[in-house]
Parts: sequence; C-alpha cells; structure tokens
Amino acid sequence: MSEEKKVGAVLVVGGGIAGMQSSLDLAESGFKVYLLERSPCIGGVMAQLDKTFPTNDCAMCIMAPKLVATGRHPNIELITNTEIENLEGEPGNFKVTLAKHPRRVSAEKCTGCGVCAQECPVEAVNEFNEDLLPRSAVHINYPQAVPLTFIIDKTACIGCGICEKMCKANAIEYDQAEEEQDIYVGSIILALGFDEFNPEIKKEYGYGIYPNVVSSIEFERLLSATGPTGGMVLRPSDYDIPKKVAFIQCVGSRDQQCDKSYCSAVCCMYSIKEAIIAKEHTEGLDCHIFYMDIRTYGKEFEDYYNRAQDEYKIGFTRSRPASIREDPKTRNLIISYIENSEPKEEEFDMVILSVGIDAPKDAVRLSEKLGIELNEHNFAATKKFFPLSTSKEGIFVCGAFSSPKDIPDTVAQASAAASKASAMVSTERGTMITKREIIPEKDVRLEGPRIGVFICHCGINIGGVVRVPEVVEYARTLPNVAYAEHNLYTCSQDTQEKIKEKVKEQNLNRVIVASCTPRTHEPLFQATVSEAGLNPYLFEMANIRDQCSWVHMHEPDSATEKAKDLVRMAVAKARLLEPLKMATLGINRSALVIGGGISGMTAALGFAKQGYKAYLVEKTLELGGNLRHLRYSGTQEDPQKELASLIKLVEENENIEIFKSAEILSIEGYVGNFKSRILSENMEHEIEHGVVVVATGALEYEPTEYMYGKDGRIITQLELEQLLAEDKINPKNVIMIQCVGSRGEKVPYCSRICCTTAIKNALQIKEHEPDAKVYVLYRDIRTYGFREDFYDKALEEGITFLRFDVDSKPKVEVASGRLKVTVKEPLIDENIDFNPDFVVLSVAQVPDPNNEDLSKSLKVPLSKDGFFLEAHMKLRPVDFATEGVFLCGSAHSPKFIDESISQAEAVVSRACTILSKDYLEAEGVISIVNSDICSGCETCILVCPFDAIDKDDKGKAKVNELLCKGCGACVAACRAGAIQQRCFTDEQILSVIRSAFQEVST
Amino acid sequence: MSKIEDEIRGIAKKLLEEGKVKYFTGYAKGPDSFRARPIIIDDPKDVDKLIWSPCCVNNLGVYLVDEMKKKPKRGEEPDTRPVGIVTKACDARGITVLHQENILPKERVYVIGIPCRGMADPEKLEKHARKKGLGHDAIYNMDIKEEKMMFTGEAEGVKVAFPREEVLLDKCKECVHHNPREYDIVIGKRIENPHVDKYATIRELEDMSLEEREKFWEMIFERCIRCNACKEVCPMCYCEECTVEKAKPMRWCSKSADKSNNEFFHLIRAMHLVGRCIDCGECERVCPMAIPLRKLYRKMAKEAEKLYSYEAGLNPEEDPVFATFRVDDDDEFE
Amino acid sequence: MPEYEPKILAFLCNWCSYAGADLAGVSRFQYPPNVRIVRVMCSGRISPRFVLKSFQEGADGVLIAGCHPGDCHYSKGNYYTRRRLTVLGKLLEHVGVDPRRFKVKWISASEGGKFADVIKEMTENVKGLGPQRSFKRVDDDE
Ligand code: SF4
Ligand code: SF4
Ligand code: FES
Repeated sequence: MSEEKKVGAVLVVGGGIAGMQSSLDLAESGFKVYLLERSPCIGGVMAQLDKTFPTNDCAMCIMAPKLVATGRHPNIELITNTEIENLEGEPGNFKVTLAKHPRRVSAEKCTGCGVCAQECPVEAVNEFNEDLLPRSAVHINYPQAVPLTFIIDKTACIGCGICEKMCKANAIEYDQAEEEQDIYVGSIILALGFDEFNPEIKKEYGYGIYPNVVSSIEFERLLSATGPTGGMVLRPSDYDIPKKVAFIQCVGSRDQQCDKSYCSAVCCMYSIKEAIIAKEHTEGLDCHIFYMDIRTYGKEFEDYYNRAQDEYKIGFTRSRPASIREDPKTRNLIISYIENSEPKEEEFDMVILSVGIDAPKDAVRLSEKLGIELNEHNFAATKKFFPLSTSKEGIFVCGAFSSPKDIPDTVAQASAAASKASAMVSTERGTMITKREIIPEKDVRLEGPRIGVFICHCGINIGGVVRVPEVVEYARTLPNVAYAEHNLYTCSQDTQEKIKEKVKEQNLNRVIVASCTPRTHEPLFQATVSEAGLNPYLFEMANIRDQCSWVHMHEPDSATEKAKDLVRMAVAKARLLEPLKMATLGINRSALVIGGGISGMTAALGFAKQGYKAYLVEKTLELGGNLRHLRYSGTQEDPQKELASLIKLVEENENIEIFKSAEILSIEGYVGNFKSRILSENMEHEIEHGVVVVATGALEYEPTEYMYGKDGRIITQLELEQLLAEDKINPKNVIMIQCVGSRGEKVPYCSRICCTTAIKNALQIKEHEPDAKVYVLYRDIRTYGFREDFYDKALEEGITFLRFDVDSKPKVEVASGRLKVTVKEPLIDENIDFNPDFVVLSVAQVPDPNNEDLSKSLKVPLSKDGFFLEAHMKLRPVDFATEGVFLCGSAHSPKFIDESISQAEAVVSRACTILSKDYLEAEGVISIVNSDICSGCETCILVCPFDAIDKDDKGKAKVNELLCKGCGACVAACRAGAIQQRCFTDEQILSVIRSAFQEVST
Repeated sequence: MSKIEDEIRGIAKKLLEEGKVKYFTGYAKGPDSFRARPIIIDDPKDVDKLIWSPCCVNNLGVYLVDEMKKKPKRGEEPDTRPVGIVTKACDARGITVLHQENILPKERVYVIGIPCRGMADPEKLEKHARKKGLGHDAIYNMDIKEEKMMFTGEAEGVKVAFPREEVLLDKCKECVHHNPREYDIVIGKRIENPHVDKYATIRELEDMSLEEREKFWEMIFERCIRCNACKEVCPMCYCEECTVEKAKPMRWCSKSADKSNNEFFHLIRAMHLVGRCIDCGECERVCPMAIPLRKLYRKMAKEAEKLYSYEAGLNPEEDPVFATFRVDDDDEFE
Repeated sequence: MPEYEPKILAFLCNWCSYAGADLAGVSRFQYPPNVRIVRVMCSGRISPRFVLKSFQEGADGVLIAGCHPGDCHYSKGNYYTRRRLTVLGKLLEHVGVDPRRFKVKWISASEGGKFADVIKEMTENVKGLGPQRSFKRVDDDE
C-alpha cells in the first residue's frame, strides 16, 4: 500500500447501536464517516427494546441522544436504504460501489411532519412492532427515527396520489429510481448486527400456529410504552391479561437439530428482564422460565438473577420442554417437559420463546462481495488475539456479527473497531472533514433586545389548528419584539436565508422560532443565527407543534391561546438571553496507561499507532500480567508466543515509555491536562498527559475451601495449566470443581471465564492422555457464544459433567493418602464418590484490593463488588463519568483475552475523541459561581455528578468549565443562590414563570 | 454557685491566660432574674462574670458565624486563634452543622459542652414567681438540682421551688439529645436521654384537615411583619445576603409583608433548614409576632428523619441530607 | 359563565420528560390545553422556589417531571430532586396546599401516553379543586 493514496474516511456498514458508536467515535476524532444502512433508518434492534438489563434503563431514553448526535454530526454522512454492490482497491484506499434503493420521498424536502402517513389509505405491515400493529404505506419506522424522512413502501402503495397532494413540502417523488454511488474510504467496519432466529422452524413449539406463542422480541414490543399495547401485557388471541406465562430458553440456540449449536449469549438475561418487567406491568402475573443453564455471566448479572428469584419470585425450571400444545377452547398452552427424569405437563396462558441470535441475513452475500471469511455459523471469522479483524486487511468487524453479544460488549467492540479502522489511516486525520467556518459575532451586550419571531405553519401541522397569523399579530405587540412573521416551513432552506436577511435588515439581536421541538431543530436554527452573525445562544424556541397543535387538534381556540402564551414565554426568556463564550483549553496529547497486562499493552500500542504518546505503568518487574501464566488458548494460537510478540512491539515502539516496578504517587488535574508522579525503580518521574486509562486487571481468588493448600494434588486451573505445559504431570483421573468462590457469599458474582477455562484444560488433559477421565462438577455451564462449541467438543471427547446444588457442594477429603471427592447428583439424589489423582479448582476472579486507593485518587467509583464502575453499564462501558478517565480489561469485571483486547482498543478510540482535538471546548450551558455570595458550604461540590466543582484559594466554590456538563443540580442545591446556570438562570426562569400568567412589562 | 459554673470560669480563665483562645463567649447575669445574657470576655480578670443557670437560653453559635465573617483590618494579620464557647447539647449540634458545612473550621472554636436537661422559659418563670407572690425585682438564686428535676430560687430568705415540668421551655420538653457529642471538653455528668415525643409540637396540626391547616397558616403568615429577627438570630442563616430577598440579579420574594410573600419567605426558609435546624428555638424566642416557626421546622425535621433517617448535627462525617441520596430512597413519584 | 379553566405550569427535563411530551404530540395523544411547559436540562435544576413562585404568580397546579431514577442523563440529578421535592410536597401539605396541586412524575422519553394521562388527570383534579388563591400574589412590584 502506498502512503500517499490513503483516504481519511471510513465506511461503517450497519446503523445499529454498534454502527452509530463507531461512527460517532470516528467522526469525533477527525475522520469522515459514511454510515450505510440497509433499512430506511438507523437505530437497529436496540430501538425496539423496552428496557435494558441489568439496570432496567429505558432503551430509547439512553439511545435517543446517540441517534440525534449521529443524525446531525457534520462528519457523518448517513446513507440509508442502501447496500454494498462492489469493492475495489486496497486497504487504505478502497472504492466502494453502493446501490441506493428509492425512497420515493425526497430526503432534502421531507420535514418528517407525517401528514402523508396520516392520510395514507393503505394499511400495510409494521415491521418495527413485529407485525402487531398496522401501518400506512408511507411511513417511518418509529417516531424518533433518524433520518426523519418518510418512505413509501412500494409493495403496499396503491399509487392513489393522496400523499402527494397533502405534502405541502412537495417531497413526494413517486418516480425515484435505483441509483449507484461510488465512495472512497481507507477502511471499513462491519457492524451488521444480527437477525433473530425464526422460531417457526421449531415446529414442536407451535409458533405461528398458536396465537399465544410469541417470540421474545414480540413480547418486548408488548412491554414497551411505545408498543402496540402501550406497555400492557395482553395475549394475542383475545387481548386478555395473562395470569401465567412461561419463557422457553434456547429456542434456536444450543440446538444441533436446527443447526444452531452455539449459545446466543443474551437470551437468559433478556428473558429474566422481560419476566421482571412483565411482572411490574401486570399485577399478580406468574412468570416461569424453562432453561438448560442460566448464563448470567456478566457484570452484575448474577445479582439480577438472584433478585428475579428472591424479590420477583420468578420460577426457574431446569428443563428443555419437548413440545407445546394448545387447548383449543381456552387457547391456553400446555407445555410438556421432563424434570428430574419425570415427564410433566403444565398449562400457561401465554408462552414466550426466547429466540436466539442468527447471523445477519446479508452475511453471505456481503462476505462474497467483500472477500471476507465467515465461520461455520456464518458469522465473521476472527481470531482470539485479533477479535476485531476480518480475514481481509482493512476490514474490521464489531458487535454481534462477530459473535452473539450483549449491548455493552457490542458498544465496546464498536469503539474498538473504530480505533482499528482509524489507526490504518491515522496520518489522514482531519483531511476529509468539514471545518467550521468562523463568522465574526456581533457584540449585542450594550444594545437593548430586538427580537425577531418566526412562526411556523409546518404545512398544516400547526397551521391547521393554530391560527398562526393571529399569533404573529400578537407577537408584534409583545415588548422588545421588533419583527414577526410566519412561514410555511421555517426549517426549509429558503427560510434560513430569510431569517439571516431579516436579522440584518431589522437589526435583530435575538431570534425566536415558534415551531416544533428544540430537541431536534434547535441546532439547525442556532447554526442559522450564527451565520447571521449572532451568538447561537441568542436563540430561543417555542414548541407550538409537538406540545400544542398536535395535542389539541380539536380545540383551535385554546390551541391558539396556548401558542400565544408559549410565544410570550419565549419572548420573556429571549429578552434575557446573553451571548455565551465557550472556554477553551489546550490538550496534552498523551495517555497514562495504568497496568501492563494484555489490556494495558494493547491500549498503549493503540495510542502509539494513532500517533499519540503513551506512558505505560506496570507495578511488577515484567509486562504481561495474568497472561504470563496462560499456556493454552483453546485455539491454534499459543498465548505465550502472542504475548511475546506483543511485548516486543510495545517495548520497541518509540511512542511508548514504560515504567516497571512502578507505583503512582499522585494524579492531579483533569481532562486534557493531568499531572502525575510515578515512582519507578526508585526514581521519581513527573509526567503530563491528557487522559488516564485504568487497566489494572483482576486477581485470582485464594481459596480456603476444598482443602486447598493442604495437599499438593489439590490445585487451581492456572497451576494445572503450568504443570501440564511443563510436562510435570500426567493425570489419569481428574475432578474439576467449578464456582470456587464465585456465585457464593465471598464472591457473589459469576467469574465468567472459569467454565470455558475448565473445559479448555479438560480437553488439554485428554490430548495428553486420551484415556484420562475428567469430571467437571458444576452449577451451570456458562460457555456463552461460540464457546458452546467447546462444551460440545468436551462432551464428545467423553468428559463427564456432573451438576451439584449450591446447598450440597462437593466434599474433598484425603483418606489414607488418597484424594476422595463426594458429590450429590441432584437428578438421582445420591452421593457419588471419586478417587481422583488431582482435584482442580476453578477459582474466582477478584478485584485488586489496590483498586480502592486508585479509585480515590482518580475520583472514580467502584461497584459494590469492588471492580471499577463505568459511566453507564450499557452505552459507556469503557468511559468513567469523569471525563478523560477510561477503563478496560478485568479491572472492569472478569474477562476473556479477546474481550480485554476489545475493551482496550475501545479505550483508545474513546480517548482519541479527546486527544485528536486542537483544543477542548467547554459546553455552553454550564454553571458559574458568584463568589461574592458563595458561603463556601460545599453543598454544590457534593452534589455535582461530574466532580466539576472545587474551591478556590479564598474558600469559594469554583466550577471547572471543562468538566461541567450543565445539568444545573448545583444551582438548585445552593441555598445562597450563588450559582447560576447559563441559559437557565434564575432570572430567566423567573421571568418565564411570570410570563406564563401575565403580560411581560418592559 | 454551681460546680459547673465554677468549672466554666476555671477553664475560661486558663484559656485566656494562656492565650489559647481569642476570646470567650458565655452567659452572664441578665437584666432580671429570669434571663441570662450573652457575654464576650477577653480578659481573664472578668471570668467571674460567667454564670451557668437555667436561664442560659440563647444559642451563642450565631456569634461564631459573625466571627467567621469578620474581615481583618487592612495590613493586619488575622487572629485565627479559636473562640471559646459555652454550649448546651442543642447548641453543640448547631456547631456540628457549621463544621459539616465548612462555615466554621474545627480549629477555630473551643467548645465547652454541657449536658443539659433543658432551660427555663422566662415567661413561665415570671408567671410562677408572681403566683408565689414574689416580685419582679426580687433576686433569685437560680440553680439546677438535677435529682429533683426542679429549678429553685430564693428570695428574702424564702425558698421557692419551681417544678421543672412547668417552667421548662417547650422545645426542651421535646428534646431527646441531652448530651453534646462534639466538644473539646465536657462539664457535668452524662444524662440519660428521655423518651419523649420529639415532634409533639406538630401533632395537633397533623391531625387537622387540609382546610383547617390552610386557615391556621393563613392567619400566621398574615401576621408576620418581616422584621427578619428569626433570620438574624439563626446560626444556620449565614448567607451574606438572603437569597430569597436579595435584589440582584432579581428578587425572588418581595420584602413587602403580605401573606403571599411571607409564606414564600417562610417556606423557602423551612426548606433551607431541612436537616440543618437543630431546634434551639431561638427564632421563636425573638419573634415579636409569636409566629410558631418551630411548627414548620419540626415538620421538616420529622420528614427528614422518617424518610432519610437523618437528624441535624448528629454526625459531622455525614453528608447533608439534600447533598446525598440513596438509590432506594422512598419514591412517591412513580 | 364559562367553565373555570385551571392553569398548570410544568417543568420538564430535556432528556426524558420533555421528549416524552414531544412523543405525546408525535403520537397525537390529545390532552387538555391547560398546561404550559418550561424546559430545563435536568429535573435536578428544579428549586423549590420555582414551585412556590409559580403558585404565587397564579398557577393552580405545578407539575415537575424528570427521567426515571437511574435514567437521568446526568446520572444522579433526579435522585437529589426526589429528596428535595418529596420533602417540599410534605411541607406544602403541612401548610394546607392540596397535594393534587403539586405533582412530581417520572416520565421517560417513550412514555408519551403517560405524559398525556398525567396532564389529563391533573387538569381534572385541579379543576375540581377550583382556583388556587391562598398563595397568589396581590402586590405588583418587581
Ligand atoms: S420547523 Fe416547521 S416545517 Fe420544519 S419540521 Fe418544524 S414545524 Fe415542521
Ligand atoms: S452551594 Fe452555593 S454557597 Fe455553598 S459552596 Fe456551593 S456555591 Fe457556595
Ligand atoms: S436529565 Fe432528566 S432528570 Fe436529569
């Protein structure tokens, strides 16, 4: 690949949560992004979800800001309703040919007002609501859709022409045709996501035949407030409230019969979540889950599972039901299953099939077009130490397309892929993005307010209800209003020009638009205002559509009065608006990485590849961390070889400075400008850096149970690996005991990696000695994702798995020199004795006790389990709430190598959104302290969620403008009234309150 | 002269002589036998003016706030020695709140804590004295007889005893924290804390209907003349300028004394005292219009305790009740 | 005589409840036109003064809405709100203000229906109570 031909742009394929995250990271670190989506809008599966586990956050609430940000980012070009046709060129400079399917509605002209959809006479199917609600032929997928451009479903459209007549924006273009487009990019990220397994294949469950058998994603829509039933759980056959529902796990997962041998990794958790929410929505609902193993392996998942049992009284039955039949009279469902070797039947009002994750339908076609390899399950093939790379250089993969995974793992991988994709073209950073033009601002501070009011008809959306001209007349009578007019569509391009013109002509210094919601349109109008030479904060909106005309459609008089009130309130605020200057600050473009294990090294190398300096601090004498003790990866790769080559890369890189035997003495400062003191090999160093990465890893739990330490033949998995690798032992009869420490009192969570590790080592024993007997004593086998194939292999190889109940743990003894293990098998309810050569304990992963100190000096929180706690469990898995501080690897929670690598790369990507900037710019809406009034009580300091407030040398509070996010919590907490939030000052709000009830006086 | 009084004088003397404190605040004989008055002394010779009696009603904490606000004269080194202070258990809790809120650093005050069963209400004393035929200007020797739970006085050789229950300040009847928790030195024996209804003063109101309560407060709030005495005497009202009334950048509440504005003022004040009011009762004592302010603040205290197990001034390490939360706090808003 | 129409002032946080109110519009849920909405960034910004001031200026009812606990865009804002406004509610009741005049609700970005229902219910309740007089300001000075 020749250097000069590289392109500073990346193509992201797939607009789900992963695609959006990759795009935003790339766009924020100086790259142009083409975000390609097959369907008409972005959002993916997450937009369909009601709540997310384990925090039960509302999915749309947490995702909507990302949707909006993606939709309006100047560096992101959204290309929806489009597919890849062809790929040429080479890594660094690909030419991609796209096939754009016609939308039949002009993206430029459509305002998303939705009149067309209301008038459309045809009812077609609504995919978003999983066939549960009809929709019109002209439609958008969901109300928050981005782009908010309608689309005509050609198969349903009867060509009546009604929408064309109704659309005041002239946006309907029936005769749009297929189009081709070529784009040039340096690298490609595949974020295709997944498809749901179609449960019709599993005939025995009667999906598609019995109406009350639904899939879990359909059930999710039933639970959602935006769903077809408004969040009421109703069964489809008679819209009755069910009293007893069952979930059946592993439908289309762990099932060789339908060719889905792998585990879908998310179904256990989402079923528990759905059961909990269903119970919250429906009083007295009985929920039952049929499962094979409960796989609650993630951060705080086990706790969620425990609460489902103890608090929510959800029933769990370990059995895979054989079949379902329907009682034709009641339409109830009878599930046949086997429990404790006995056949049983139970009746339910409704059954939910927890459908698995399938490879995306597009995968095969796309892999051929792009020339990438798929694995045997049709997901993108990746390697353990290169989890983000496809078989083709320059093409990366993230999210469920590389293996089934949950949202946080997906989001982490999305960022990680962005880091890989941009590292390829890091020299081209900033070459293809649109630079903001700087327009000189008019100084208005000394002038009295002259307000211009622009009132929108929004076609007939507003004008059809509110008497807009009357509101304009009224606006003219308000104090300080110098000009008022109405527009058919205020957001149209020509109105923007008009607003600019009027600002000049009428010498306006404040602008109000009364139209739709500021949540979507404020940035557009603010941009217009700044092009007119006014500070963008001299703009205010009145929401007379979403919160007026649309909700009072049959009361034109009251709606008109309300619109007047809203305009008056906007004027009251606008009079007091002030131009805001955003503080800026230089950035030290380097990173401090704490911890020299696989995560820390990957992160440091990632920074170096992006062209930034990294300081890598390792507390021991050697790099490598826990990986140094790992001898087998379970795949072709040799961990020690991989580790050695990684260490070499790190040690030879000029951009990385390594401190060994090091200790951090202090860290001070904040994002962009940290100062740290490090003691390394008895020398003190002072370094300055812009970001901090916590990659301190986890430790092994030191067992006190099962006679560990009392007999040399009772060892941990790591010790076994060591002995095997050095050929020191040749065991013939081994007992492995799972969950040693984990899922108990000492370590309440699941350590995630031990099941797979045990199986890996069991297979290794078998490889050494094919006749060896290996028994794994377990509670649930948690080989999620493709790790399930390992489990299958172990069963094939004759490894025996025996389950035990948590209340009757196995007993380990030494009797006359021999090891003796006794375990009670719950199925036969009898004790079984073994005399193995070795007892191998799968011990828990526990947090480093030093986390406590580090968390204090970085002012970042720990979870109740003692691991570091990220900013948001779902969408910000590697960020801390404190800006400029990140985390990755097992310091976050126990993890596999590939997962640690993904998180480490993710950190690089997230940090690059800071390091790549020329300077840091604070938010406009922030809080400021008036130190004359401040009493120094520190209430605000305690309250601020972002640690943005400190005290100055006079003992008065001081807001760090770069850390403040402008929530205003401190303002309300300050009794003295010493803090004000810009744009939402007490004075402004008071004035708005007054004006809500009376005319404003000058 | 009581033993406690002796000890106070001894300590004050020592502190002043050794220059350990900048000055000393305590109580002195008041204008009449029923009242003590605050005194500030900086000369060890004056320590005999200090007294300890059932009339030591005032909360001296407010002087500490004044001290902290003092600006040193130009070019002068500020004197940052601690101020010595005599405190009852409630006053001491007030000091704890001031510590908690960083208004008063620990090293700026030397606290003499005194376990206290309650102080006498001068008006009640006066009434009783009159009943016994004792004149207003008679000289009494007030003392606290712990065992008997009585206040005794002496005039012209006649001994009279006032039953504690009858002369106790209302707020003291409801007090359950008789022992100071934070102090530099404590004088006197620990007192068993009683089991009394700490929120007795609001029970009656709580039993009323909404309308009755609205009427009750309407009368009250109409009466307030906004003299600001309550605010001035309160050690918790330490803002430079009252946020409710300050004029810049705008005025939240007009100073004119009408029902609406008065209510605004008093309710915001009540909100500002949640988890901070230590029920020293000074506001009610100084109010010329007999506004039952404790009936607002006690309600707030009760809710803070009930909802968040928080009581003002008990633990300096705790975060103030509105500056913290628990994820599983009571939620009525679902 | 025309029926008495109460005035309700609602303070909504930008990220959830204001979005929920928008969604009510997008979904065309109809509700009574008695409410005026003031947008703030987070419910954590709501000071008791806003509530009292609204009553003083003539509101018959005041509604505060924010993200559900745990969902706050700034992670913790609404937890502080919850404490402060729970206590404020108790205080208002203590001085005789009918609790139906002062409501706090958690409304998410996808609960357009809930927003409409809350407004409907509150308007009806406040209508039943009649105008709020006790707090109303009589003087007219700034
Ligand atoms: S600005 Fe006017 S035309 Fe544009 S979407 Fe908003 S309401 Fe409709
Ligand atoms: S809460 Fe107000 S008075 Fe207290 S320190 Fe903060 S700004 Fe100053
Ligand atoms: S952002 Fe909605 S409550 Fe904080």
